[in-house]
Amino acid sequence: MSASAKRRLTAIIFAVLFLGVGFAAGQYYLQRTYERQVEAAYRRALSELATHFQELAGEMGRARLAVSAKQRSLIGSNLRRLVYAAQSNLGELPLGEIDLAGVCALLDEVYEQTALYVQEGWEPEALEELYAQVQYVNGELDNLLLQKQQEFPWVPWQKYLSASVSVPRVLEAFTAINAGLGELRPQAERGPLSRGEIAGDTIGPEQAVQAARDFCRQEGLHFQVTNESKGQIPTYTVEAKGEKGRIIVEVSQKGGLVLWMMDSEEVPESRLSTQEMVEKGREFLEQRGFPALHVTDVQLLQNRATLTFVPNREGVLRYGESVKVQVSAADGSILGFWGTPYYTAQSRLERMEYLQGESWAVQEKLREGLEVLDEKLALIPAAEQGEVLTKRVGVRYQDEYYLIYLNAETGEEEQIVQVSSPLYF
Amino acid sequence: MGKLAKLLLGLGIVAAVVLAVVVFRRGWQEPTIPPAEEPPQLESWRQTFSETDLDLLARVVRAEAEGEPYDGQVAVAAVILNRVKHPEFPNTIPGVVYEPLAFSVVANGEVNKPANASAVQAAHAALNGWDPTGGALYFYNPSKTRSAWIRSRPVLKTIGGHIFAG
Repeated sequence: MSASAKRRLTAIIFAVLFLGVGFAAGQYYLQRTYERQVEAAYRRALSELATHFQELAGEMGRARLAVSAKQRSLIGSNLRRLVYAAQSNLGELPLGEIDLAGVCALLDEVYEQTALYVQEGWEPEALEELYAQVQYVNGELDNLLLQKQQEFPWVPWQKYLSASVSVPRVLEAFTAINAGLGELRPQAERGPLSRGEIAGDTIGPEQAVQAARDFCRQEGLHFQVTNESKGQIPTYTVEAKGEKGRIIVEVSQKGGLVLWMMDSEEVPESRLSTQEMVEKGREFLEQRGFPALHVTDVQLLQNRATLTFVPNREGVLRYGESVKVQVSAADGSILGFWGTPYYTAQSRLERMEYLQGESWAVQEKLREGLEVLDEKLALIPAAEQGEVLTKRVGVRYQDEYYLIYLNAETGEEEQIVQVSSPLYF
Repeated sequence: MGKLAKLLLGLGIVAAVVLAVVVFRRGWQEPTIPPAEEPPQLESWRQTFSETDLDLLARVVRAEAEGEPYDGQVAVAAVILNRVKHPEFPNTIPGVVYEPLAFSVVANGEVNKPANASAVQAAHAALNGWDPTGGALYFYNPSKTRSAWIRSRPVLKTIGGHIFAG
């Protein structure tokens, strides 16, 4: 073989090899991309299914207590919506993953019984039985999801390579359909409890630093303005480096109010009881001029308590003006504050009107078998009226605890919320 | 020239075989399973969100904002929650997170790794209402994105390496 022929042959072999390697690498990349798309689609379906089942369990729990036609109709709509959503999620899941036949049958049964429920034809025993089953599936799905989140991948991609896939074209089509829809106003703007504005004189950065210093009241911290926000409420971000972490305080440019505060400090241990932390949080807020407060939620995570308070004005709990604080379980120091809803509600106080309830006995408006443990008046957000005055009744039912909010005028249920104990009734 | 060509040909074949073996092995390789971590333990008096939602949100925060300041991590979680409330996005956390082409960390699988303590705390704060962004629906790293569309969105705030936009 001549030298030139050898060179040509070598070049051809090299070209073939490079093409082969390039093809293999390209195939590998495409397979990985496809595998991840399949993976993400299944994770989404299962996560949403778990979310919808959890909401279904909550809604059915409330259904057991509801008496008024209004509340039953509302719960019925929610049940139907959640059944549809869960069925849709089931359709997106690989059927080999879990036994779905029973779950499908359960959803069908809930759907059929919902119609009877709205017409008050649902037997309480049937409701209890379905509720127990939905709770069971909800718990199992939660477990499955937590286990699955430790595994990767869920589906061997090799099994899907034979399928004809045109994902990009489908995505493009959906993107076009989505883009063709008319713009909707965000829910927050439509609702009656949309954020109000904060009134007051415009402040400068120095006053923002002073406001942050006055709010935190910690010696030795050097605060400085590090940022400005142009969001719905223009603010200054004021920061200081504490002993164990960074403290960030957001101050409104109008009125100089501290809207929120965050401390990134990690809390390594827990020494205080929940009740002690609640008291620390209440003390912190009262020292800063907040009115008498009632705790409405307590969450414990990583040695921090996140507490939600609502003001108690003239014997009425105002849920629209909530304030949150995070308290360290180690020493009771305040690690977070969220006051935006409280301050934005202030501008609506003057035009807020509510009726004092007519005299009717709470027991008359509740279903039988509920043990009433507590009664308070509460002004709660409502979709149509803006806010509605309610009698907030803490009850026990079969070792479960609920807060039922009865319209102070009509006695109909406005909301039913499950809680873990009667501790903060 | 002949010896050099043979040498190159030999090296090329060896390289191609090695590459092919690596590519094929990686294709069927058992994936590395991240070390199992305890899921976030949340005690709540009045349950307003699920632990699975908290965990998913925290995993996105870790993947998108590991190394960012704490408020930057809360901000990433807040953007996802702002989308959940917005009518133009899915109305669940998994729906927003796994929306096609929404988050690069879903596309590259980073979201499947477990969250760290800071991310869990940040996700929890956002679920409780903290929103350092002032209502942002988008965020991006200006050094990594070339999208003219995202850069055209009104900037609300910059936190760490991320720009948050409405």
